[in-house]
Amino acid sequence: MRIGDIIALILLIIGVVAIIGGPMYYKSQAKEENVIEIRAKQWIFVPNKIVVKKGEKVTLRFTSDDVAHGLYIAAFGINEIVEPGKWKEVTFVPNKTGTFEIRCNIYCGEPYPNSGLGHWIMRGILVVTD
Amino acid sequence: MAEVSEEVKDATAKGEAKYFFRYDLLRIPIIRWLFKLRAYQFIAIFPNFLIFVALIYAAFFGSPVGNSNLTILIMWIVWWAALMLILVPFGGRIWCQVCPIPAIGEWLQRGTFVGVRHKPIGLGKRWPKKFDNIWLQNASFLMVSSFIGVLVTRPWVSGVLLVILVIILPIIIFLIFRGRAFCRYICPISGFIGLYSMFSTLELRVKNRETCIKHVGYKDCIRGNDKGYGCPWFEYPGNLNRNAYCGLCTECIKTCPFDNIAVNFRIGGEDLFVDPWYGIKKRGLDEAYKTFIMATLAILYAIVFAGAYPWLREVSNVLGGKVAPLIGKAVHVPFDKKTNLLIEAFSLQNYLTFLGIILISTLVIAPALFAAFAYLSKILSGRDVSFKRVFINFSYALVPISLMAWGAFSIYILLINGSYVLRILSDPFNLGWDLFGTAHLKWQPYFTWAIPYIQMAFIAAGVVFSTRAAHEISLRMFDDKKAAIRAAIPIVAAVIGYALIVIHVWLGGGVFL
Amino acid sequence: MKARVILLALVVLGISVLTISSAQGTSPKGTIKEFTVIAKQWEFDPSVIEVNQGDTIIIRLRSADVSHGLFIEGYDIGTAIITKEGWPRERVLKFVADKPGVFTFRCNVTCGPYHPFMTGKLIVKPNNPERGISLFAIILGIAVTGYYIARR
Repeated sequence: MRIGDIIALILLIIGVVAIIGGPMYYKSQAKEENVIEIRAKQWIFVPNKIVVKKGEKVTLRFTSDDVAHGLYIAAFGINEIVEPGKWKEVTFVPNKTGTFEIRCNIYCGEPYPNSGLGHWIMRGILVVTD
Repeated sequence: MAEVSEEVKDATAKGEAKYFFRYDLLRIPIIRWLFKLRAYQFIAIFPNFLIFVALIYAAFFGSPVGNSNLTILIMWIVWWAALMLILVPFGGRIWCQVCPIPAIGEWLQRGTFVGVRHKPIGLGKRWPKKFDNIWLQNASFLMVSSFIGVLVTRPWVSGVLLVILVIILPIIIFLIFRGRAFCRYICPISGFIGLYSMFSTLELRVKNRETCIKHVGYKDCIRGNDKGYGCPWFEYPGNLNRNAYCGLCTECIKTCPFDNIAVNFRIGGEDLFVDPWYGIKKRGLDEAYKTFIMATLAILYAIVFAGAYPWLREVSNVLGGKVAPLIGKAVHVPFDKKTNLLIEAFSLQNYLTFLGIILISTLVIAPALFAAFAYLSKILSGRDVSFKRVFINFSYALVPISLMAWGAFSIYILLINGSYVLRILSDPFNLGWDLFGTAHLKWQPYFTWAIPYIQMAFIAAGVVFSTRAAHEISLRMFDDKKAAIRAAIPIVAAVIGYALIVIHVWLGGGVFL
Repeated sequence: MKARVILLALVVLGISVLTISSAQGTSPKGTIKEFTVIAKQWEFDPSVIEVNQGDTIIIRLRSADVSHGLFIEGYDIGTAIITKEGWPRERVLKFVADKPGVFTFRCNVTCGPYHPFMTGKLIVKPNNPERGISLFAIILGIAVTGYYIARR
């Protein structure tokens, strides 16, 4: 049944490529708009430095890899809960240049009690250029 | 032309348990056509194969959060529940027929996807006689169990297991050995499916054993012909009176020149009660221990994962990384000082403790407890059957109720986490899709009021079937009916004792468990 | 014939036992019981709460580390602590324990890998459901054995 085998092989290849290629293609598509993905995990933001242009609309797309974190950028009034396993978006237009702090404002643990580490030093940087 | 002796006819009768109802599904034209189709196995395996490819992908590239990860949800909630609640009790080894795990190995070994090619690729070695048992599967299942805490919570760990099971092991084993040696002797899932399949409502048997006996010379079902392969599970359909090692692969249905194979839906006739055909292979300690392993883990998992014992739960988390000091409450969690990143470190301490708990409870405590009941049984019978025989044969009585205990566990997990499954279908790879509109479904358990009743029904059914099994096994072991009843009573007590423990684990609280 | 009669009688007895013991009955006037439950990765402290049927239960939920919740299966009520700055650090769950039995409570805010197993037990005495089904299981075992004894 040589024809049968050829058909079977083609079906397999199409299937595997579709499953693995599909999401990958989708991911590459999403980068066209000005969307920046941020992952929060205990106890860092990934990436922990974001560079945007002043006046340009930017969408922050964020999720958590473990527990509930906060995405708090005081300078632009962004105050969101970063939920594990879910993606959320917030869109804003940075209207001033400079270096601004991204902070986690939902307590997300620390290595040991009273460490001053972990959540307490979970920071990121938002740089707005001209 | 060999004549069929009375001895054979008598053994034929003894080798079967009584059926209340039996219907050959191959009498239904569409099923008959499908099972005889050369390409049927490929057609059946193909969708599952793609699903497993998706699972492997999602394990490494999907969300790292367990309840938002396709692999965790499908493997450990949907698939597990489907196996324990539907596929195994009603289909026996029907999963093995459509299982994608050995697919790559078998396609490579046969050198074809849908054809018949009797020039196998690879070494084609026979499986060593010394390992013609399921001890290896007992070991592989226990090994998987020792990691169960992290398997069901860390997607990448399940991904690693899938890569080993679906890609690495099959390729190696299928290219070294003939047939489905991987499935019959190594696969951890196969071990318990085989055991529980003896309690199922589906069986593959020959329609008429005399036909097989009269068919001397070349046996197509075990040697293969132009229509198909010889049984890859190393069974001889003519002697098949137990489901344990028949993977329902349909090869014999295609090859038998007398169309003597039947796939029966049955009520009654559980093969738990009988020895493998004609005493060729006696029931062994390996299967008995598989029973103890499954029966014990049904209880242990319920305590660890749905119980109120934080310490026990913590040791199961072998990537917990918590180094708990022997005294004091301070907990240090490994983290990288430079980057402030929490590290999931493998805790040897936790692993060895949890492994120890599993091994001791399944291989020592459970068998020892059952041995006490079996010893009582032997004494009460007043008969000359060896203790080992009593111990092994009666262990099968635990199969129905332990399957029901797994059912109680699985339905709980399914109803509590079902909303996560509905959610993941809309966004399987955690990319922000919403295919079915359920991507933002909030967690909510379903039918919590019904769970105790459903579990209760499972356990009640388990008591009935296991008690029946105890008596049926006893009647076949002892010639005297009164002795058989006396011998069965301690086993019935063991069955009830097991049921009470399962009930307490799910519906009870307090110090004792 | 006799075997079937015995079997049937025992099963009917068992079902009656089961039905009676599962009944909720009239709730007696109970006391008020207060518990402070501290949630932490991945357990509740205390992990077992024992009360009597009819009691009014007040559960004060707090978190020792990250955001957690507490949801009681069967009663299907819950609350959550999100550890956001400025948000309350204690939430209260108040209800009447009118259903007897043992109810699993669990965390309903994803709080790390072992979140799905973060459970505890609420025991509402008397635990009639367990007693009933236990008795039923024993009766069933005896009934089936009785059937085998009596049949030819």
